[in-house]
Amino acid sequence: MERKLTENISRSSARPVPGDARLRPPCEVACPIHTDAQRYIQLVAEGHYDWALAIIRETNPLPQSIGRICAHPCEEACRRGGVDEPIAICNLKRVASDGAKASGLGYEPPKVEFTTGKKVAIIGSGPSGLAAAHDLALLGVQSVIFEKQPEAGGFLRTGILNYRLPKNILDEDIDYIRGMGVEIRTGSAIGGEINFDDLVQEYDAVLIAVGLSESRPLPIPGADLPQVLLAVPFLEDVNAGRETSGLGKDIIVIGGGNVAIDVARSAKRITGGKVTMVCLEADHEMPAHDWEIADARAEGIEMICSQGPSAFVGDGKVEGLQVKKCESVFDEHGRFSPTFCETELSVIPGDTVIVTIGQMSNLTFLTENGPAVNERGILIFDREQCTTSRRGVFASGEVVTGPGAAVNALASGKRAAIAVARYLGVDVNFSHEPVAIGEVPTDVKEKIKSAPRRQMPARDSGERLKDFEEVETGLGEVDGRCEASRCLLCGSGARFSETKCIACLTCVRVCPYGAPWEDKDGLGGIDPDKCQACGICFTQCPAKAIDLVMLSEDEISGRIYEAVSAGGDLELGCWYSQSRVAPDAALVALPCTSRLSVSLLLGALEAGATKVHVAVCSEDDDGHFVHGHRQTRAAVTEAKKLLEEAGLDPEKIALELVAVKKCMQST
Amino acid sequence: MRSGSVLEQVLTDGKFAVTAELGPPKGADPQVIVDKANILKGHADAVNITDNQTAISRMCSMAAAKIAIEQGLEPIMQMTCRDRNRLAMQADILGAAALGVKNLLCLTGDHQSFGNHPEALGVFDLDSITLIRMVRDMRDVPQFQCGEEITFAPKLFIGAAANPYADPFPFRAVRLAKKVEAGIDFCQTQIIYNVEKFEEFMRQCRELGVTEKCKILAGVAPLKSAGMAKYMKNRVAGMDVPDEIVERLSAAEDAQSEGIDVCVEVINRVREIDGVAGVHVMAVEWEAAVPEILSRAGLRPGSE
Amino acid sequence: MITAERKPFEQIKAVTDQFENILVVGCNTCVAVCLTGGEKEAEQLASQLRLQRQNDGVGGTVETVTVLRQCENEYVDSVAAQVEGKDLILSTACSIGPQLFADRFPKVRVAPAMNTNMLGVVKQHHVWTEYCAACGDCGIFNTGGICPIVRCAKTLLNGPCGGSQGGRCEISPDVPCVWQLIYDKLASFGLEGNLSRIGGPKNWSKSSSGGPRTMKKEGFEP
Repeated sequence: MERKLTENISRSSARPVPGDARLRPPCEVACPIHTDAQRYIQLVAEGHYDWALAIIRETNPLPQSIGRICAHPCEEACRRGGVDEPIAICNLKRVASDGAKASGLGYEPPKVEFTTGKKVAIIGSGPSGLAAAHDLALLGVQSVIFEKQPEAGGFLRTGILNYRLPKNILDEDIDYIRGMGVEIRTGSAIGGEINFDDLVQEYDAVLIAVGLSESRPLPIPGADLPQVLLAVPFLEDVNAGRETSGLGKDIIVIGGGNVAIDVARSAKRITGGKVTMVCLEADHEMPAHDWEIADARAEGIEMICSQGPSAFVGDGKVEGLQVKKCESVFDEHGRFSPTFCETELSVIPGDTVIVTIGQMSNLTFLTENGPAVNERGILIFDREQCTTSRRGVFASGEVVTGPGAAVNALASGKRAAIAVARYLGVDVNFSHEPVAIGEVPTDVKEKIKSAPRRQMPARDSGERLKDFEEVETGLGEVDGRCEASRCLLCGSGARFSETKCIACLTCVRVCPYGAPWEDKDGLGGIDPDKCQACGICFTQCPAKAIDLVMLSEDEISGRIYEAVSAGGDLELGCWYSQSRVAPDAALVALPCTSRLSVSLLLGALEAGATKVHVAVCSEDDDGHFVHGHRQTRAAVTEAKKLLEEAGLDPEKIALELVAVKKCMQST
Repeated sequence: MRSGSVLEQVLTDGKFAVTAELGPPKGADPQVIVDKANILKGHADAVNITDNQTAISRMCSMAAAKIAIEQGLEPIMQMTCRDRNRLAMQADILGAAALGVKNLLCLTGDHQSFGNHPEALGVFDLDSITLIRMVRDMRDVPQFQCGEEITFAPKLFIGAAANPYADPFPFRAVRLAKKVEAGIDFCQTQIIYNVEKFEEFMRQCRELGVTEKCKILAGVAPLKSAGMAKYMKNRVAGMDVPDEIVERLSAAEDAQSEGIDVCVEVINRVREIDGVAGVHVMAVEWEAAVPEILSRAGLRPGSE
Repeated sequence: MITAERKPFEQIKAVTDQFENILVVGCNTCVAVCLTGGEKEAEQLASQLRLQRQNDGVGGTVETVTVLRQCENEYVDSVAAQVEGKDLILSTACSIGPQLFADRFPKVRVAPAMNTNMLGVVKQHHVWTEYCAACGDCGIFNTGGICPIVRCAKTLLNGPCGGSQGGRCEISPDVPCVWQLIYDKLASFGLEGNLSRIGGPKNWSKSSSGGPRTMKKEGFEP
């Protein structure tokens, strides 16, 4: 039985079918779960939020949650970063899910049939366990998640605070997975009433996805003082809405990672007092994301860097933290190996210390039958197969990968799902790892219009400190679509067919970016690094050897057909325009109407359009793409000529001027 | 009367017309024409002056026609499409008319590859049928081919050739009908040896009404030798020489005499065919045989 | 390449209106390179015809298919399935295409959508110029690599004629005098004296004037 991982997800008709060995945009390659960010960004730009969400869901089982808290390695890779600023990919994920939710679409879980008859036990309902359960369900394998906490979500629930990830949002993502037939038994710790060996016995496979559920203590003098707290229990209390006992008004948070920031910001919200972060790393080395650090600073949290804690000072209660100057954190191989200046000591005053120096897993539920752990108490694990030393027992997530971003845990869970499914005899069709296209060449960069990144609006820092409500309010539709329009559509442009190419050089002559070149055999090719996906070459290639990867001719004509099947006017619109040219007409929006071939224009009339309004920017604007408007004008002129020859009213196709969005214009 | 030519008069009067052929020389000596004219004079109503016949360069038909006129003969000036475009042809037509030419035979012309200048460019700006239409319009409208008016129209009796033996046979009479529609007054056929097939051709012409609008002169020619008979049978496109004729010449002691006999027999047979208005005797480079043939056939020019 | 341009639509329509089921066949060689009859243009024409026929109430179907070269039997034969059931094949190739279709599909009517005009070069994008007359007897070595047969309006072999003025041909100021070009080119090699030799006359027997031509690769069985 061969199944595709995503076959149960309703695909939009707009989904491209890339070749196996295709180059992909670097955002997709950098994403641990290889989400087709470009595709959903494009759909956001067009305002098709439900389609966008469907694309996200193809790889991401927790779209709403990840859309808020993702570490977004995609944005580091974004080629637009080399032009001005990267696309706000993560924020657009939220725009998609928010938009889809507003229209009531995309939240109905797919009907899943557990055709394999196999059942898997998953220990832990964090992102890794949830991802595994989700993907296993799509592969026809039922799973039961055992969660020791009273509510599902793992660290997403216990470790991440409501102001970053509201609980109701997490609930909705988890409910969706439940809706697929995944059972989550909360308050069910393994090792207590349920014996691990029994689990292995009862289920066809077991996946350990327990994460790193305990804080690593700091074994220095004074560690037993009552005001020395550990991050995980602290965050659990905060997230559960429990009283956080022992907090003073002058709190020191030890650690420089993202969790430390969360701890600090929570403490600030609870006490309203002074919160100081102390970390080993220098300012620029802090492991937390820059934006997290910035947010924390905006909320008045102080950072003391390059200091290593050497003792908790105080007699019976904490009075401060003694620190010594940290000279370096990493050795020449980049390994964690801090060195200190033992003589440069100082004391940071404070009445409470929260230790946030890392987490570890709790594997006490394992029995003497295994799986085996190594001398440091870590599971012995095969990264490729996701297997442990015990047959039928698999592992995923931070328990085996170590700490990382939630999206990495998703990736690990998804990999484990495939491994488990294969173990259970499901023939999984697993796609190749994508390869990123190169940087934007300098000569092309100069031709790309600069456009500012839309900043995520946030509640005022004074306001937001008063509660745990969500800080970021979402880009919203207008800014979201503007932001999505900034996408360079990397690698989604010309798809060149060597077999159909007649080496006529038309593409070479018409491309504004110099992307097509001639190789030594006189055959063409199109450099994906240079291609900006304007579509001009596609419309002019006489042999139809060029199509577009994203929004191919078939897709565009499919959309046109759908839009005008009942007659009426059609607007062939522009992503980048502020306004519609024919507000009452059915709309098919394109990155640029330069993608419209004469055949597509005539085809719209054939499909039943009463009149076709083609958006084009004025020559002064010159639009998003170099010469895009010229191509649009030429195609419309030609199409009108053909109509007139055929005895039809040429006014059935009309050019209508639009203004390019303000946000797309140079700053 | 369209042209006032003798030939037109004879045919209009319903008399049996006789025409012969006078090939201009490959030189500038007018005496050659004079000599040939003297042989033919009194035997034919009109004589065809060929135009670079078989694509061999010769004295032009207009000049030779003028010399023939001076010798008291009525020329039928031939004009082919091979060597001139429509400008030149219209100029020559006007010039010929001015010099007293009254009959014009419009031909496409043999391909230049058959002649002595196979490297020459074949003009073929018009073909015989478009040429006929052009001449008809020059005479009757009158206008040039471009539509411009002609102030003094050439009065010409317009003729064409017809070959009953080319393929596809069912189309031959139809093609002649096209020439009639284009504007011919008379036509001269390819040399007839296979009389039966010619009879069928004539039947078709009658059916199409061709004979009512166009005088058909049957082409005849004496064979000089068995070799010539074989050559014409096998090598000349569009010729149909029955085997029995080749055999008769091969068997004959005096082939020339036998050839004349055959020619006379053919004349006598075609005269009986309804719609045949005359004969055209093509004794190429054997003009001397014409008087004998005509006298043995009992034919005198209709003009006499 | 061979260049061809589409016939006026009126002419095409006059033919296609007589037929019910039409196959527009594009050619992805010369006419594609000169941007008039390749797959894209064939599809455009088919679309235009469908719109016109719908508008005029003409029934039937208009489909389209494109082959790599309509001057090859194998490519022409490859669309037999699409030709099946069609009443007319409308070819957007040079005149070779419809003729070969007529040859290979003797029972189907065939019409050209194009007028074949020349053997030309791309002068600039969307502009083509005639360079060769296919005369069968190339003499351009003697004329500085420039063909006077096709590029001189009078086909002169001993130009320029008296109509050459300022490098322009007498027929139009837009037309360069090719004999001026030849003279300049030869002068650039110091060879203008060669032009004092009488050129020609041309052997036309190797051109189409000599009758339909056939080319054979000597020494090989056809």
